[in-house]
Amino acid sequence: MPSDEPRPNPAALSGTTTPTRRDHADLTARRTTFTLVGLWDAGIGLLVVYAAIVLVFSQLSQFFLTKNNFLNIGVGVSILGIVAATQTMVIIARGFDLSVGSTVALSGVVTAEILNAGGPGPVAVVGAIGVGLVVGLVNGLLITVVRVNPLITTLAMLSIVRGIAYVWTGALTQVFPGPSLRWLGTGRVLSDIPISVLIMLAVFAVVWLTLRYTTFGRYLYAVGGNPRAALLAGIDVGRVQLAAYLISGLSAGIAGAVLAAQLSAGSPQAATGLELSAVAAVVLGGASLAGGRGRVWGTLLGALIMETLRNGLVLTDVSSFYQMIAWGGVLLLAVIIDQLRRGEAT
Amino acid sequence: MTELPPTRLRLSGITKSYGGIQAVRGISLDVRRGEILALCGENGAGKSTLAKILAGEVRPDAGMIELDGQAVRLLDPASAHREGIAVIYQELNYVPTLTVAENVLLGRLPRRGPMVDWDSVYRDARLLLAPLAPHLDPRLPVAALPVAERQVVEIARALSLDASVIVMDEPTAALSQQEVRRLFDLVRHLAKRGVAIIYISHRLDEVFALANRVAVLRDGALIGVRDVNETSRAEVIRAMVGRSVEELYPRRESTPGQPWLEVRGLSRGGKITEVSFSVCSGEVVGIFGLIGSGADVLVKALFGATRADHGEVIVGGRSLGLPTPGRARRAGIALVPADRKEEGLVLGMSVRENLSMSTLPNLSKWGFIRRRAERIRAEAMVRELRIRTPGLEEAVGRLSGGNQQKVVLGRWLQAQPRAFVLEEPTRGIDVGAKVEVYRLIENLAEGGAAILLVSSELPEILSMSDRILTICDGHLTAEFRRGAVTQEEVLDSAIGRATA
Repeated sequence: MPSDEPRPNPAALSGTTTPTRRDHADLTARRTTFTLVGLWDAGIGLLVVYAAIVLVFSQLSQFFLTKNNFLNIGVGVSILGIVAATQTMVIIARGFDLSVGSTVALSGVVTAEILNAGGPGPVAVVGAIGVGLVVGLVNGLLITVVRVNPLITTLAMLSIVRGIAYVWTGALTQVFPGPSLRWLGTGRVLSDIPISVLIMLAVFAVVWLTLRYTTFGRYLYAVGGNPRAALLAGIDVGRVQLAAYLISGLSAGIAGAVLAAQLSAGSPQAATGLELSAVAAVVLGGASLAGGRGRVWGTLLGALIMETLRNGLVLTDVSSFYQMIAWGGVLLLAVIIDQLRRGEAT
Repeated sequence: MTELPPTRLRLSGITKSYGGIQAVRGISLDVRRGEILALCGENGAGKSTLAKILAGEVRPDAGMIELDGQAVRLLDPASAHREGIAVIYQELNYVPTLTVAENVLLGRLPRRGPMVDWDSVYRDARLLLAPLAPHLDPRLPVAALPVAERQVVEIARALSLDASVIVMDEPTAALSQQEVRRLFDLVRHLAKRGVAIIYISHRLDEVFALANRVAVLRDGALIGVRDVNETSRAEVIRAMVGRSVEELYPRRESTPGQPWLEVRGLSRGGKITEVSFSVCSGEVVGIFGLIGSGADVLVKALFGATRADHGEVIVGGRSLGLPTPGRARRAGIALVPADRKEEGLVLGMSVRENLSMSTLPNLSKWGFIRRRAERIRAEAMVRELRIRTPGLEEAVGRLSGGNQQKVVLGRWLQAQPRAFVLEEPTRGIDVGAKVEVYRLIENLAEGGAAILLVSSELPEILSMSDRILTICDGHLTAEFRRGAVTQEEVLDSAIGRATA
């Protein structure tokens, strides 16, 4: 038997010795790993993808790399951007809101109805936002109180809300007189920048501040990361999730008013499929569908990539059928990256 | 002296680092055929890393692994299986929706042609389970089993690999005493058949009852290997913690004040029925119950994480009615749940974020987090509780078990609650960390906190509690004072046997 006498060790991790250097040093150092997925998480990947898209299309079309075209892209992305920004919060909290497209349509219809009934523009906007909040509240209550799965709840609401919009209008687009909401639809600030782009950027800024600096933002990450642990830490998980759906509904209401103003009409078939684009933008931007992680400026880049791709394909005369294939490819790419990242995390 | 059996497994100079921390430093160890080698050490001592290296899950940075004198490379779990090494983990790996038999034979289901041969599946599974749990029905889904029996499934799976080296990482953590006895018989039987066994455990009772030799790790290094007949518990503990543990449990004169945490008539759907008790400030009340007694439901209902049917929770004379977790927290109740990974921590979030999770409203102004204050508080807590982490921003999931538990405790200490509900606070953590937790409990009680200690470890309950309550089938069955009761009496009331 070899004699391996336990040796007294003065530097042992005991209650009486001083803590080792490790305990003090680098308490605030952040570990970075330089892997492909790590780069993607840091947002570099998205920027590279975006730069590549811009580069390719600027070679293919002389109209692409112009100020006017980029303002067009801005207007084109604004509706998607507004709902994708708040979708980011919902997905971080391990939820889903598939009802946003329908909510945009219904609130657009309500906007048009109010204007056509002689209501002033601001009242119409408030009405649109009210519709969004009601849908958000119903979603939130069903998910947090009745505990129906969020995917199913919002899928059902997608259908119900769209149906209400059709029934209300008899499936007819409700046109309203141009001037009443022109400021919101086609208004420009500093002679150039469309109001809708500013509204979208404001929504992103608010969501970014919320996620990064507020207790509510931190709760969203905690609830999405581990709902059970969040609950047992004394966080009111239901209230946090409910708030996320309310905010998502609110932003869909805003988007609905903006879209109606852009079109001078409330259309029951507007924004079909918007919810999927929003989820795609969020996932493309680096959020995990499993909850607990995501960054809102990633979502902004994700939405921009999708809209720029669409814009570029239109400018280069690619058939809209190929656009569908490209869109699906982008979505798959995003989900594959999400999967790779999860693989690395375990 | 008889000739020793040949060495089956030899490790030389095994080293592995994660980030800046060396988890295993130059460990050299032999295990002979038919030998049971116990591996002891504190949290983060490197035991689990060593197990993962042998499982082929983690590749060492340096060192050599030999089997019967032949150097082998364990590149992945499949190659470890081919070499005849099976590792049974502390954290169970099973598919809950599949049956017991499917889990035992997962990936190796016997076939007839292209189809699964279900008769053989159930026959083989029954054979493998027979020595452990002869009455377990292999057709049940694993999700339907109590935790202890899930562990049995895990062990049976390792047996099915017909391994000649078996590593068991804390296999008894969730087992009842009877099951532990059956497991021991099985381990001895395997050893007799020439299997080399590495048995990782904190429980020194088990180590001395089962092992031939005991190896102690500390801080990733091998401190020593002794024959169990030539060493003592005290020596092993000293080697593990690097100091002598005079007394595992601190003693104090308790002077309980007024009742602070009161529970009245708490009931929930047959799991707990009309439970009433109170904990005074400065008092430690222990609740002892076996698995399925309802102790876990009581804890969750008290905190509002599980909705009770009726009843009332009163803190400091103010009734919360049936609490929600938010109201319980604001009323000054802290809950340290038994399962820290599933219930205690958000593993992907940082140490800092996990530490501040229950105190964010105090650390924020108009809903905005005061980040500097948050960081300072977190740093103070890391120092105070000696949480070993490379940094505040480290994902808490990368810390060792004991340090994770300290993060959960630290979170609540920041909230400065007056009532603590501690559910299995020392489960799966080692002697050294246990002592620190016990000291903390003493300090909190001395500071006037009311402490409810829910534990299935009898020595812990008996030594730490001023009063002991037992729970069985959802009913409180008895109340004892510290010192005026034996283990047997507590156990009798916990299993519902009347005592004289």
